[in-house]
Amino acid sequence: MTRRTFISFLIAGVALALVPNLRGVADFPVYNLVFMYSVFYWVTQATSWNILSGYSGYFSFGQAAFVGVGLYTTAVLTAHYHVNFFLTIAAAGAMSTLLAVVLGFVSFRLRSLRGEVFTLLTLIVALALAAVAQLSDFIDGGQGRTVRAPDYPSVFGSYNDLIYRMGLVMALVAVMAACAIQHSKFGRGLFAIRDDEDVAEALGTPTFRYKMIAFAVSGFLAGAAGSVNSLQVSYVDIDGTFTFITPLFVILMSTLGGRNHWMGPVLGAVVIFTLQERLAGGGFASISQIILGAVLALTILFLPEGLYLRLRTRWRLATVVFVVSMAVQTMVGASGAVLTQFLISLVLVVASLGVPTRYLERVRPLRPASAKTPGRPVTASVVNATIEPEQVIHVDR
Amino acid sequence: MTAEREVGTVSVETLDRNAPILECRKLRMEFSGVRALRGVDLAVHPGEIVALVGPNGSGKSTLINVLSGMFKPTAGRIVFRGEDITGRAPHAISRLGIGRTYQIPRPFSTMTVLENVAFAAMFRHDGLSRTDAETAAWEYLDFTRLTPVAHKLPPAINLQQRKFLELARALAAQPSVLMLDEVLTGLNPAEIAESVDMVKRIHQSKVTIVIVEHLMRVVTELATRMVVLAQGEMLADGLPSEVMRRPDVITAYLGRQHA
Repeated sequence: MTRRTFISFLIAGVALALVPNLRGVADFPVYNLVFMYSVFYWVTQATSWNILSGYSGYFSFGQAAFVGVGLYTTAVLTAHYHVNFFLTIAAAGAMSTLLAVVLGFVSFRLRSLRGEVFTLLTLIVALALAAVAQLSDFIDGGQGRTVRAPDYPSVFGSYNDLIYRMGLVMALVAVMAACAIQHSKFGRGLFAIRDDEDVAEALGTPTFRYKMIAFAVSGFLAGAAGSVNSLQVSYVDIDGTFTFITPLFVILMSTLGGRNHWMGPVLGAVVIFTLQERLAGGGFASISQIILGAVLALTILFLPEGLYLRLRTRWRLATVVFVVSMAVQTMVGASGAVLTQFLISLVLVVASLGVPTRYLERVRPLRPASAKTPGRPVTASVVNATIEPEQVIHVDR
Repeated sequence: MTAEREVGTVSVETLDRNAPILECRKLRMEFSGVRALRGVDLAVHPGEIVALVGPNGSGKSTLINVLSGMFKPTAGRIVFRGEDITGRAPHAISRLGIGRTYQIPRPFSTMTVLENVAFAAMFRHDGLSRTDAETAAWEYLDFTRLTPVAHKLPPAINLQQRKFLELARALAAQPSVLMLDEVLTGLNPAEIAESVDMVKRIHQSKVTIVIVEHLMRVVTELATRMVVLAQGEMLADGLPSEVMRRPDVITAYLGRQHA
C-alpha cells in the first residue's frame, strides 16, 4: 500500500467518523447511523472472507463459525468473568484466529482434494460449534446470552455513536489489510495459489504458510467484528449466530463486487445489505431470499468479474446514473426514506454496469484500451526494443 | 576487466565439474502399489544436457516430479550440491536452484505474461520486490522473444509462446539445474528449430539441463548424455550416439518386433 492510499483511507475514515456529528446540524435520523453501522459490519465480514476465499480461491462456508466464536468469546468473558468489553474484542479475534489455524492445519496439509475438503470442513465446523454451544451451559445451553452495554468515556458520544465508530474502525482495519495484502508479494502469492497452486509452490511460494496466514487474518477480522457486533445485537443466541445467512451473504457480496480486488467486497456489501434491509423494511422479508438468489444468478450471467472491474471502465456512466437518479427522486419529491432512494439509485447503477459492453459500444464506441497500457520501463538494455501498439492489450486488474 | 574474479570462477567450476550438481540414489516411488520408479541412480554434472528418454509410463515425468519435490520419494535420497534435500517442500527446492517446466504449459491465467515472469523473480532465492521483479522480467521476455505479448493474458497467446513463457518463468527463478518436460511436443518443425536454439542458449548461460524428449533427432543434437528409463528402471546411460545403438534400448522404445 502506498502512502497516498494510506492517507486516502485515513481521510475517508475521519470523514465517516464525523457523520454522527451531522445530527446536530441537519436532519439525520439515528436509524441511518444504525444502518451505516450494519454496512460497516458486512463490509468487514465480506472483506474477511475475501482475503482467504477470494484471493486464494479456497471457498469457505464457515464465516458464521468465526463470527460465532468471536461473539460467544465476548459473551462468555463478560458474563462469567466480568472482563472489560473492549479487552474481549482482542480475545474474540484471538479465539477465531486459533480456530482458523487449527482448521487450516488440518485441511491445508492434504495435497489432494484441497479445495473440496476445505469447503466441507468449514461447512461442518459451523454446525459442530452450534451443537457445542447448545450443549454447554457455560457457553449458551440454548438460553441465549445478553451482552450488557459497557461503560465508556463520554467523549465517544451516545451509545449509537460508539457502536457506529467501532464498526467503522473494524471495517477500516479490514479493508486496509485487504488492500495492503492485495498489493504485496503475499497477495501475489495468494492469487497464484488460486490460479495454480502446484506451479506457485514449484516457483518458490510457501503455499502452506501463505494459506495459513490468509486464513488467520480472515478469522481474526471475522471474530473481532463479531465481538463488536454483540453491542449492536445485545442478545446472542445460537440460531441467530451460526446461521447460513452469514456465509451466503459474504459469498454473494464478494461475488457481486468482484473477488479480485479489495473494493469488490466493499461495493458488494453496500449493495446487498441495502437491498436486504429495504426488502425487510418494506415487508418483503419473506421473498428477500428469492430476490438475493436472483441477484446471484444475474451477477454470474452479466457481471462474472464483479462490479468493481466494470466500475473502473464505466465510472463516468455510473456517477451520472447515480446523481441523476438521486436528483430526480428528490425533485419529484419521492416520498419516504433517503435509504429507499439510495437503494433505487444503487440498483440503477448496478444495472448500468451489468449492460454487456457490446450494447454500450453501439451507442458510443469506447476509446481504444491500449491508450492506458502500462509502459515498459526504459533501461539501457531495453532501449532498442519496440512494442507494436496493436499487439498490446490493456489488462484491467 | 576483473581478472581475479574470473580466475576464481574458473576454479570453482573445475571443482564443480568433478562433483555432481544433482544426484539421486536408489530412488523409489510407489503410488498405492504401482511402482513408478524402482531404484534410480542418476548423477547430473554441471554443464551437462541430460536427455531423459523412455516409452510412456517409464517414469520420466515421475522422476522430474520427485526431483522437484512435488512427490516425496518412497525410498532413496536426492542430493543437490552435496546436500541431502530429500523430502523438502517444492518451494524450498526451487529456491535452492532446481527449476522445472511443465509438459502442458501452466501459466497463471489471471496474470499477464509479464506478471507471470515477474512472479518467479519475486519468489526466487533473493526474492525481488514487485517493481524490481517486473524490471528483471523484461530481460527474460527479451530472451524468449515474448516482449510483444508482455501485457497479454496467457490464453491470448499461442502454444509456442506459452511454452516459451514456461521457459521464461523458469529462468526468472534463476535455476542452476533446469528440468524441461517435453518442451517441443505439439510444435511445428519451424517452432521446434527455434525452441532447440532456445534450449542451447539457456545452456550457454551456464544452466545445467535435464530434458525429457521423444524426438530422437533433437536428443542427438542437444544432449551431451542420454539416460533411458523403462518401467521405472534405468536401462542405459551414456553418449546419445552409443546409447541409441543398443539393442535393448531399441526394443524398449520401439517394441520387440522391430528389434
